[in-house]
Amino acid sequence: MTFYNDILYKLGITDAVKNKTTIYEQKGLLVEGHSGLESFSDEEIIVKLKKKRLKIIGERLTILEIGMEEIFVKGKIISCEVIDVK
Amino acid sequence: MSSSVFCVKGKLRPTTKLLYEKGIILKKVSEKDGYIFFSTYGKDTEIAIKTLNEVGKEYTITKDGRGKTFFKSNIIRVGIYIAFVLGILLVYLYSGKVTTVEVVGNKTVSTEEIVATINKEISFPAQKKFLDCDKISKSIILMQGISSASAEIKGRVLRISILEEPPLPIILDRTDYADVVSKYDGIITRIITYSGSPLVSAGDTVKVGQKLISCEVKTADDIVIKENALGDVYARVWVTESKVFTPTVMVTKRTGRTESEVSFFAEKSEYKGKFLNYEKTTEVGFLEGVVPLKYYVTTYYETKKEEIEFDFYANEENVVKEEIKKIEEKFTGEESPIRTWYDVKTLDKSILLVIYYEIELKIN
Repeated sequence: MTFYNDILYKLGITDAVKNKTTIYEQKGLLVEGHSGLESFSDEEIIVKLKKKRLKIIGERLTILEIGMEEIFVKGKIISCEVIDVK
Repeated sequence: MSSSVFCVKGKLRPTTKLLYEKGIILKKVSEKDGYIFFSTYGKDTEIAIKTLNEVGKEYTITKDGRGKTFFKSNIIRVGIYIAFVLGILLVYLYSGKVTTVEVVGNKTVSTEEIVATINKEISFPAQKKFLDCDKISKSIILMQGISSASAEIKGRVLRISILEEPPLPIILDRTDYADVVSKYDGIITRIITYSGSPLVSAGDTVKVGQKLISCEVKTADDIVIKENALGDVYARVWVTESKVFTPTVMVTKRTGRTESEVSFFAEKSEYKGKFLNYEKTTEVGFLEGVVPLKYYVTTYYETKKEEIEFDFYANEENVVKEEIKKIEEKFTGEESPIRTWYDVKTLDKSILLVIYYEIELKIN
């Protein structure tokens, strides 16, 4: 069992994980499996997920890299919230 | 890795989506006044341009990393190929070759002469298998002043051991009846006569060309016979040197600008740089790796002529020392200096320095 699968097992997740967000202290953030960018500013970034939105609030936020799968965000991360689409 | 920076007019979301869906990785994304700024890897630039053109987006490339990437990747590849070929070439050129000649045992015949004789037979670097040591030895033995020579190869060195002929005895020509004459003006201090009749004695004043020892000898019967006059005559001689010093002198000064050139195998003989006047120094070194490679580093120093004021009296001591040294350099060293003095005369705008050098030397 891999480390990743071990985590899924412990969390009781049986379905395939569509997206994943990793916060590195308060210095940066990695979103995997995104569907695009909704909005973008120094203090707030909204990343599109399949059926939800990921709202990242912070200071001096910059998108370091954006690819098909990942988005690297640099800056002081204050909060990270998954919100429903209205 | 180099990157390209784009500035695209439009909204963030559709533009970025459009690009990253094509597999392009966007970096440092920012938005300002309706423009999106981002950078891509140099390799992705072509696809990004194509995609933006397809949808008719207005854009500019502020930094193009395409050429650089292509250049960089290719220059490394070409560099590796060239280095490899050069390495093979150098190994081929230098492996099994003799590059230097070492000459030992010679005193009267110069090393340069011997090397020049060897160079007539072979040119260096030479393949060891083509070197005929016997032939080289024989060609050296044919040189004047050498009685025996042996050549052997030690690594990359051709070692030549020389045995010189003993010096020929000095055979005096006794058929030519010549007098001993003076080469200098002076006062005789010593006279040693081997043959002939001395005409002067210690304390006599002599002039240039004056006969010192005559070739005519009177026998007890008053018969004059002739023989070659031989002897050593020493005298006190005064050498005078004068020099005029002007209030200003032209000196060559380095400006501080330098140019350096590196050449392999041979020193560059022609200067093709910017300096009109220059001084140069050359350093020779060897790249002692797998193969020995001789290199020359020539440094050119730009110079300019500058007129500076010269205070004779401030530099009097040094100037006199220098002038005395110049006089001393004219003599071989067997002479005995007696005393030195000098005289300074102030002319209209310049100064005349006269050096008097008293010396005892052989005057014939």
